[in-house]
Amino acid sequence: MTFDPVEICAVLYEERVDFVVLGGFAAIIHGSPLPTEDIDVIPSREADNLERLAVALKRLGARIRTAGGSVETRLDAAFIRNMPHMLNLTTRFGDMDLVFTPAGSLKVYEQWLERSRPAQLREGLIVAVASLDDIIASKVAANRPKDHRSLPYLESLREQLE
Amino acid sequence: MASMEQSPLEDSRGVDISQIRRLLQMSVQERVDYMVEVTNKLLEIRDTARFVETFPRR
Repeated sequence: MTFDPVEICAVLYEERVDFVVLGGFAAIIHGSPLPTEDIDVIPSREADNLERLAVALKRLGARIRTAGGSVETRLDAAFIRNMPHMLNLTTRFGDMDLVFTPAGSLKVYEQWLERSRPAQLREGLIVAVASLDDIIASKVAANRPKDHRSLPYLESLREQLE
Repeated sequence: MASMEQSPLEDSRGVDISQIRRLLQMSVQERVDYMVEVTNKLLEIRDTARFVETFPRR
């Protein structure tokens, strides 16, 4: 399967889903040299948005991603609403994680959006991308080994951008 | 591979700044396309590369 995070963003955008791109792919948009195999997004949890998100997930052929493979599930708005923290998915354009409670002080979509920056990924496709400061703060808070590996790159990137 | 001597391209964290600067010289679209291509090439290598028992005769 070819990983195409831009196409994932395009489907979300076309279905008018309100979301912010976070994590490693957001860091790439800022200039990170670290490849990533999935895209993390935080969606608005407004009822209408979850309905639009469910339509987008259907278009993407999204399935629940597990350690043993993927599982077909009815990913409707009610199901998504009941997810407390995260939903790991695989789609026909690669893996996508829906993050509902990111690590760090920013907990909800509206907070991430307020500090995000718009980025054009291709002609006519502009998405909200988490600020590099917020990406770094979230990785510091998550405190996982993989975050420890990426933080030097992101902190050096931040210095280069200053 | 790490060397005993610090590379002049690395900052105090050991990060190669030249790679970051090269990416920052690109537009957002160029940068995303390049990194997605890198990721897909890595995935392709991971899916196809394998260790074998012996070296081929030359």
